[in-house]
Amino acid sequence: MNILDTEVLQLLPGDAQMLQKILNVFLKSSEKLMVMMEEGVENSNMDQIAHAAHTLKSSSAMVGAMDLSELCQQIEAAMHDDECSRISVMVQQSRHARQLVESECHSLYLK
Amino acid sequence: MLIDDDPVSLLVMAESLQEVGFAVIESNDGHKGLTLFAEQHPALILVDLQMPGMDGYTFCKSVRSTPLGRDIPIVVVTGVDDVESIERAYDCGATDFIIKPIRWSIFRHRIQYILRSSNAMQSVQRSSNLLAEAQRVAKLGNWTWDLNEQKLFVSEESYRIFGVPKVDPGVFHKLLMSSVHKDDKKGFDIAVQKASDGEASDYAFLACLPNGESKNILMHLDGSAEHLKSGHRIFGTIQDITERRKAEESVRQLAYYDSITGLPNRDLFKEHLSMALHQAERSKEKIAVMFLDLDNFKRVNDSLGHEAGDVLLKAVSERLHESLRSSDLAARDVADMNSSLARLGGDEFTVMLSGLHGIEHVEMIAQRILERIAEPMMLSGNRVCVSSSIGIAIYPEDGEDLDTLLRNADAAMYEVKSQGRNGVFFYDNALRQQSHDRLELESELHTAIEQDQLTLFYQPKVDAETCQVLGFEALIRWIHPERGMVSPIDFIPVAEESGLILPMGAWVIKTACRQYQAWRKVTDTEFSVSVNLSAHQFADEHLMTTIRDILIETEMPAQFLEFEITETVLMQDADAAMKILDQMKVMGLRVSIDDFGTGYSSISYLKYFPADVLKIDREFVKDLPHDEQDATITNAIILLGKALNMGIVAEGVETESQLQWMRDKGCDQIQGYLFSPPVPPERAEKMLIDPFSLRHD
Repeated sequence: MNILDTEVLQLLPGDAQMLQKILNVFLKSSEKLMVMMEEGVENSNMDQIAHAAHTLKSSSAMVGAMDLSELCQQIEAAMHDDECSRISVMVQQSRHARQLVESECHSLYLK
Repeated sequence: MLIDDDPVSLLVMAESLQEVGFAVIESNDGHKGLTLFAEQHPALILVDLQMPGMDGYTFCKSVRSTPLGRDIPIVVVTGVDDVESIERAYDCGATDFIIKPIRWSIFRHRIQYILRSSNAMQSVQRSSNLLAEAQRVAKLGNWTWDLNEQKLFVSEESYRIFGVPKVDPGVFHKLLMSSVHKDDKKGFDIAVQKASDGEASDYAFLACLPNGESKNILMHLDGSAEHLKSGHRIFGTIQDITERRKAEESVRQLAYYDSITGLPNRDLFKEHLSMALHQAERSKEKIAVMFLDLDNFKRVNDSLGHEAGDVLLKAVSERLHESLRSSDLAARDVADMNSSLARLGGDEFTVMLSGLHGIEHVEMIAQRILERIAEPMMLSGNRVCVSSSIGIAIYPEDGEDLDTLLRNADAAMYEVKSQGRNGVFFYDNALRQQSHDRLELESELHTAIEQDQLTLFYQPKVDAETCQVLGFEALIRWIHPERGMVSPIDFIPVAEESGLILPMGAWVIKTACRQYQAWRKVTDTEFSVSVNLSAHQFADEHLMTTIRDILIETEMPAQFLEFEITETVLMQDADAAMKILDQMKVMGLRVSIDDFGTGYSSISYLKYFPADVLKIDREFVKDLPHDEQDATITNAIILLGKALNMGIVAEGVETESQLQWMRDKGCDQIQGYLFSPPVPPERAEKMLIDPFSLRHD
């Protein structure tokens, strides 16, 4: 399990205050992207899922949320195979993974 | 400027760059990015490839299509394994790429590097643009030729100068070589050779371009340039100096030509004269320098104004041109004549006539100029007559250098002025007289032919042993009503120069034939008449036709007509002479070689000339018999003639002892004052009827 890779976070530019800002921005934007994916699943809008997954994949990697990033990548890969049921499961897993990241962020950096 | 739809990416990248001092513009959308780009002119763009709305590829293309965005570095951000998208981004104009996940510690350095190399590129581009622009303005192209690889690098301006699209340098090389004008080819090759030997050289040549244009090209070649030491190369420039040449030409026009008349000015006239003097020195020709001054120009200027004065000067220059137009100067001795006109300033003009063989026509030309200028002209509604004064100096008689000639022509002109203007004066008056006399003689000679003032005298040729008259040599005489007898020495050259010699020569032949027929009626003895043929007659292609017509007309038996041709004339063109002599022999005519031994030695030709008689020149005879040398030569001529079965006539025999010497040596015929000078036909007739008595010591 790699919810939040602190080494990655340490390499980010800026001071502790900046790091908090980055994480806040991440939490906000990742929430938006999660909602987009979930909507996509509901409406069977694959393009929307694909785009959100792609962005969240790199965005979460940037802040060291490796599990989440990994899941997004799998969703992206599954798009090609058109496995709707699997994608739906993975989006739910992502939601969970993001929740873990958020709690981790709060307990570690955003007290 | 950063463009990414992911706020996290934007924030982190911005922070990373701001930390090292970059000012960052952010945009989460391509369209907005384009607007910001146009407004704020960032130095570098980082763009995410996958974005909703406008993606990174489209963004790249859009930026590149604007003038401002042509050279800006665009760095695309993409996933690690996405080679395909990197390639596509390049095609869309991306400069570089950065792979995610981004390593922040080197990110900012990457950006700094990219920015620096981009700046370097742009500055190279700028200076290369500047260079191209400078080359375009200077019409200067450069090229480098690698001698080892035989490869040519050519700058764009070089193509433009040659008026061709950018082609393969090899094609351009061929084009360059083939465009060099043939007169410049040799110099061009030498310049290239010099450069290959490591020297620098400049060469200007005329290039004939594929589009038919001609351009003056100045080429500089340098095989030694320090910065090209690494290889065996020639560095060169080509510059279009056509405009410069034109400018130089117009400067020359201003400096060397008179603005009112368009005639050469004093400086150019001096150049022309100086060149003509060099030429005349080699060719032994004469030059006439005329100074012409208008006699009443000042009056015209004062009364009608300067503008009218200028019109007058133009008219005078036009009239001078007309007077010198060579088509009107038909006479043969001005065939090679060149003329050059100039206005020295004020109302002074000069005329130079070069390539003259004689000066007979100079006065005529000057008179014609005088008359032409004196013709009335209309100036601002007024009928104006201007006369002129012309002074003439002749090279080499009146001066061998430019200044002397100009001074003397000027002096001669003042002589005219002092004698009442409107006239022509030669610097050397005696020369003028001579030229005048010659012209007068020519015109009188015309009259002489028309009025039968010419006549033939006859000198007998006598058998050396029997003293019987064997023939007569017909000799032309001019009995002038006022001057009396005019020597052929004086009028034959005039006849030759004026072309009168041909009709005159025909007249001589015809008259001699008629005389022969007249004499035949009073005597039964056989005799011949001989006629001299001059060089001009001998060179006349109609000679044989003329002779044939005369023989028919006068019913002259050809075997009694003899033509005397000097050895010198025969030898002028020995092969042509042989053909004419052959034709004469076919017609049955007799031929004698006159003045034998005085001209160019033709002994080897003698056996090929089908001549009947050798005439020993009086020069060898006059000091005989006591002059041993002359005796030896004369004896040899007689022996030679005998050996070739030719008759021998001794000319200029004046004494009994000369006659006796000739008899002893076996000479056949005698001509000379001992028997008779040339006499009129009536007296010659008496000699036929009443032969000379035998003279023996």
